[in-house]
Amino acid sequence: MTKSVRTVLAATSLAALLATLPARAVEPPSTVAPSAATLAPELAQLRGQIAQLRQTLELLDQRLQQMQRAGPTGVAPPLAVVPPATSPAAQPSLGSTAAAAAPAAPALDPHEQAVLQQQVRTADALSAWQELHNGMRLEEVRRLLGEPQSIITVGNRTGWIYTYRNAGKGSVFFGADGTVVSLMSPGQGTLHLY
Amino acid sequence: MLSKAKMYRGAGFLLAALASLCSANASAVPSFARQTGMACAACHTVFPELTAFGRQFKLNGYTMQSTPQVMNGDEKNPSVQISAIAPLSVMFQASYTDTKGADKAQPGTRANLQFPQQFSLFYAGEITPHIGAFLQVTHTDSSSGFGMDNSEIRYADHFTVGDKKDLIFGVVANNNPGMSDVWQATPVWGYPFAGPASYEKPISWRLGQSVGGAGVYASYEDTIYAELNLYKAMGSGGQDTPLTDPFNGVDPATGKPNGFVSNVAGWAPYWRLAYQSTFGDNYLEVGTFGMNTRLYATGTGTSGPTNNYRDLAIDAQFERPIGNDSVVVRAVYARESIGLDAYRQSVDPAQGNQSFRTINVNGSYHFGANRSLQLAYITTSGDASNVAALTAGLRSGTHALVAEGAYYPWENVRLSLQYTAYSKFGGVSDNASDNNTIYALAWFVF
Repeated sequence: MTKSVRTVLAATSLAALLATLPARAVEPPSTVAPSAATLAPELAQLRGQIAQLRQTLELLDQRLQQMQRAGPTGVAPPLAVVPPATSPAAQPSLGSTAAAAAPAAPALDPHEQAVLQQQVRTADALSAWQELHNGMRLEEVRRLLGEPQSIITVGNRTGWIYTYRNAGKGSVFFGADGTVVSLMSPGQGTLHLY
Repeated sequence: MLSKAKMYRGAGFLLAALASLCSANASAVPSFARQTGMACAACHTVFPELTAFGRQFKLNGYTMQSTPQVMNGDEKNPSVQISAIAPLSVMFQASYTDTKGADKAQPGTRANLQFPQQFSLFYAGEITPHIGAFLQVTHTDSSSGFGMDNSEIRYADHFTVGDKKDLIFGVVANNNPGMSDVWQATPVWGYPFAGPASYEKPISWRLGQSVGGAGVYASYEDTIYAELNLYKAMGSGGQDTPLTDPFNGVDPATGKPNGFVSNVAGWAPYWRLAYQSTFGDNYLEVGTFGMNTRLYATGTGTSGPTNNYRDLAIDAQFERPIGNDSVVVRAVYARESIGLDAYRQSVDPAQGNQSFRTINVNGSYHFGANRSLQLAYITTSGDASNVAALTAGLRSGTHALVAEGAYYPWENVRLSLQYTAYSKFGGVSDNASDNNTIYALAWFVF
């Protein structure tokens, strides 16, 4: 998949998000006017949802800019071979970024941040798998997918195994000459693009 | 009256037709790749030939899993855990066969186009942790519907024995003795993988879908493999799919047996023992397997005297990579001892016991991952008195040479062209080449 296609995908995701905003923010008219006390909790809830969506938008926007910066060189940003669970503390602070844009919004808790980041990374990695094909050289695969989690040898073939949260395993097998002879991309899992 | 040559050819074509009904072996199933996330090359040199990894996957009960699971109960000890996506696959084969002398026996039969030759549906993958299945239903060009094909369900788990030695222990139930095997020198998954090549086989090689059975197996340190199963005729009051016993029934005109159908009597034990080792880049397996089968002497009988078939075979498989290429050589020798108790009681008290032998030596050379060349030499022979007692074409000797080229434009598509040349067919050398066949096959799995 080319960078431009990735950009289109990301933009499509953003458009889908924007489309959800009014639907979530506007309640259908009620025949009986509710009191202010009745509305207050719902209003707070809606504000919270809006804040979360803003955070998601921020994150996706960052990813989009990152991919655009990558340009036509074909060098993808770091991908998500991820079972080594990343500590939330080591992640970029989404909460502080979002707080600057919407000071009133409650920040995502660290677990939610980690999950969200993971899903975006997985989506990015799955896009990279689409660029693989037989005959590709080992270095090209490494550049696209990063280092494999595990390596197995079967006869004269070497298999690189990648595991993704939410998307299962993928594998690439190289012949003795170091070119891809067989591959199975992940993607049987559920991929959440908010 | 038909000439002798025509009779031989007719018998040959009948054998070929019978062989074509069970000529396709399917051990490559894409749902395994979907389930495991492993590329086809992990389990297959090219399909349907298994690698060491593929053999391990099968021994472990098809249970390696990387797809989302539906679980109920405690996550560490769920009451149910199944794949969110059912492991389903499809196999489709279309073929064209040209038999050199077919028109001599029956005009207009030389060319045979089959679309499909075979169309199969599979559930192949993990059922739940430690239990997996390979279930196949098949429609053939000559059948009106779908019927059960090679199928098995197995349980497997690892145990540590002795000084941290690994032991895979499994329980398997299937409908074809030898189906559980992980090597391809043995008959169920052996060469030819598909095709009309016709030759006589021991009775235990022809029991597929006629019997059902279960047993246990163990693999110690990925070195020694042992298996013991018991099989019984499927059906009640008679076998659902009776066998053809060449020593059963008598042709009134000749006084010789003419191969009526028979039922398997009682329980038939199947056993397997194999040793495998890797030295340098080379891999070698040597093994033995066998089965004792008794067949009732009457076509519909479920009691009374039996003819007894004791099959004993030795096999070997050698693999070696050569750069990007690889070579695989397989060989099997089988000897069948036939105790003709029922035949002596009902036909000829003077008839002695018989024996029958077959050798199949074959090899594959894989050019990279998308082209293969296969060669096979197959020969069968029986006792001289066996030849005299039997109707021509049955158990009296065949010599065949098979050459095949296969091209894989994609990993799940096999296009092959196969030529089978006979120097002896059904015990007859004259005009044996009339049975030579050219066979083109398009084989899809998805």
